[in-house]
Amino acid sequence: MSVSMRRVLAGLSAAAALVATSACGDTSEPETQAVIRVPDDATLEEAGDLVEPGGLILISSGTYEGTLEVSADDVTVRGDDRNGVVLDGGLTASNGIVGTGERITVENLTVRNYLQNGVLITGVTDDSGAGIARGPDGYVPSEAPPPVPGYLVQYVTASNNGLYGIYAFNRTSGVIQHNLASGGSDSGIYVGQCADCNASVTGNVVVRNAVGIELANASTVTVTGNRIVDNRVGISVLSNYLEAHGPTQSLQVAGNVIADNDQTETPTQASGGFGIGIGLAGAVGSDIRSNLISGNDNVGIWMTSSEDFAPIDNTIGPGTWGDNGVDIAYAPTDHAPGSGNCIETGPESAGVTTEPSGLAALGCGSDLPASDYTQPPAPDGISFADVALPDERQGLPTVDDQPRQLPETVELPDISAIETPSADLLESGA
Amino acid sequence: MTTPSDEVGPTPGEEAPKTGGRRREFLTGLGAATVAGVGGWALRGQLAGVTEPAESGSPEPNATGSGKPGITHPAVPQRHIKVSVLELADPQPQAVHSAARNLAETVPSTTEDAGEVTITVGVDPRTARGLWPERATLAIELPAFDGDTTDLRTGGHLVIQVCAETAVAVSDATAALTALVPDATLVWERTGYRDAPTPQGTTRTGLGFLDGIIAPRTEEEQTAGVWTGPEQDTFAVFRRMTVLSDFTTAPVDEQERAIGRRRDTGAPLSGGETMSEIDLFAKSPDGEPLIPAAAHARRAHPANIGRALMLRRSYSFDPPEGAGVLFIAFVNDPQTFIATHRRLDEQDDLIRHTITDASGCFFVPGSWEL
Ligand code: HEM
Repeated sequence: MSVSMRRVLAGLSAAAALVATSACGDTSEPETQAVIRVPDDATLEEAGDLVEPGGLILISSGTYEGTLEVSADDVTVRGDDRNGVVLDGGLTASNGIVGTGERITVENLTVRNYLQNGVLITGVTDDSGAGIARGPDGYVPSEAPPPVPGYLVQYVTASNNGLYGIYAFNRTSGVIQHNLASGGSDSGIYVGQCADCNASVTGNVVVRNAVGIELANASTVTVTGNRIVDNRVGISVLSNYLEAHGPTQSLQVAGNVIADNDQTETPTQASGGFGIGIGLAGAVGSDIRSNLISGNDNVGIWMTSSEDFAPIDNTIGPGTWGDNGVDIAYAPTDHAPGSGNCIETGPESAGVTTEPSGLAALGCGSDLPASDYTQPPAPDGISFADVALPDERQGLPTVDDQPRQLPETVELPDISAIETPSADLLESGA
Repeated sequence: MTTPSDEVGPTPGEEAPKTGGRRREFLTGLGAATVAGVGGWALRGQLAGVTEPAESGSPEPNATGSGKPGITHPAVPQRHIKVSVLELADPQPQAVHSAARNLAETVPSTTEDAGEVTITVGVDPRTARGLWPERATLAIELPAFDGDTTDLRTGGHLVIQVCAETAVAVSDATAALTALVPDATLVWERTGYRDAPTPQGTTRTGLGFLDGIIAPRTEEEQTAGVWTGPEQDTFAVFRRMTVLSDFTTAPVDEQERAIGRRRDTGAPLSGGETMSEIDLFAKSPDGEPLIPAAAHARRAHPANIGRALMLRRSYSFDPPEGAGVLFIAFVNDPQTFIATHRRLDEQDDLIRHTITDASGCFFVPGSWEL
């Protein structure tokens, strides 16, 4: 218990913390262990309290209900078979795995049918020490605590969850890679509320979500080499006041397939988005290049303002475009007009269509004229629980019982070296 | 943080407190208003004082309880109002000041049954900046909004808001006050009424919906959103609005989706009871937000703009067609109103059915000292 209390105590005064710690010093506490095997040593729910800092929770194949909450630092949660270890919320439990400790790893398992999130890695806890995120639970952005460092979520299949498949909130230094997120009623993958997220979202497959990948008030994130198809909106970048640390700055998006994001057999996107490759609302300093952006019914990239957050200094570089309603729409509002944005799609994409027309020819240096582009109304959606199950994907190359040690900071990829992918990037699970 | 230098973004050095603290705590303030409302207006004089500790120092002539008359006092607004916007013959700031102060400090005689009579006087933004350069830094005129009529009435040097429990009292008191500025001209005026208060101190507008559910009731919330500082200065926004009959005649469930609350109980469409907050994030399994994207309560919710909650104290009137709303808000930064209204102009299934034909933003000083 003294371990799981740690983060709660962080919010109290030192004196109060001392009292509380000694009050917890009774011997009735179960002993913590370095390696907890589920189900042999503990149930899924017990495992989170029993694991010691730096330890490993190793889950054997099988289907588990309920929630695993982990608050100790440097813990690794590992399934022994990505497709065989299934945490199933049964459409009653809120979250599959909630991690609040520093440098947590979650890998090689499946989480599905949770009312909220499949995997929630958060730097915010409530008065009881439980991890929370933005939402109706009484979260107040102005009281955002400092971010908690370190996370790795990999080889996870997160499907049919009512909010987010994989959700990193108020965290820094993270890697989200080789996952598959599908049927998310809000988004498949979400990174939110971090002034310096230092996060890499790479090599993931996100399909049939309301939004594939969502970044809200999340600065310094790279999104590379992902397959983002058949959602309502491929990538949604937001700056807003519902979370702290707006606007979203220094986002890099390269080497992704962002295609056919006009799938009707998906949950409705809350503000009615549909047929959109990338929506950039109130973003600052984004660099978007070397992506294949095609077949998005309404618009490939839609750059606009959000409240008083104007689009500033964003660059759309070369890439491959095809068959979008319009490839690029530039539509900031009058009261938060954009500046310093440039569209340099290069000679290889001479046929790029824009709203207003002719933007691609203007390049950098002059302020772009704005259009009042809006998308047509979206078709009705379906329940997240009814979204088709995704295919199976390959898991961790080797499974052992060594916990991972995550670095203090994540080295983000250099996107200038990334090439435009072919349409079959990560297409099959082979 | 990067914000555009114009308009909505706070000008450097002039930043008002942007957040309202914990919205959840509004419940703690609710008890007081409930008590005041239960007694009905006859008891209000004795009970209204429970919302805030009594003020010390210079008493305002018409502030019998605590709170600022016609703003936070009485806690449950009186049944009748008259708002008059005047242009003075002498537009010099000093002349406006002495006229306004004289009006604010006058106690017109009314009948016994008038209930509590409050007089609230504000001056135009330019005059306010001239008179109180330190206190009225945020004073600005309102920009045009989408539903403004082409012949929108605006401007004027000062506003007089008179509230009382009887219609006769507000018209008598207003007549007595305007007689003190005989060479002023009337820019616009409007009488209004509030239907009988509910136990929570809210009221039904002419639309039939409960208005005033979400309000800054605690001292903390009022400090965050209403008062510019310890002087308890504030900005009053007046908008003479008509909700057109295409809205008032629409089916009730459509109206409810446009507001985001039930018409009968006032409960949010996201669940809960009359006084519950709306849940911006609640969704049905197929992803549809329970408070629709274009619902007024969602669009107007201050969390969207990261600002504190304004205090609304609106009245109804009966236009030839549709429903009249004399929208009144008290706010410590007019930008909060402007940024909110921009969101309503962008998308709002109630506001797109409204027109506004008179408008103004006035500085209401907490004290008239210069
Ligand atoms: C015809 C005009 C209007 C009508 C009939 C109207 C009606 C309503 C109703 C019924 C509610 C929900 C109940 C409540 O919380 O009191 C509400 C909420 C609200 N309205 Fe209006 N309103 C009007 C204009 C405006 C305008 C012009 C603004 C500001 C620019 C505004 C700001 C608000 C705010 C801030 C809320 C509270 C939202 C929340 O936090 O839940 N309203 N209004």
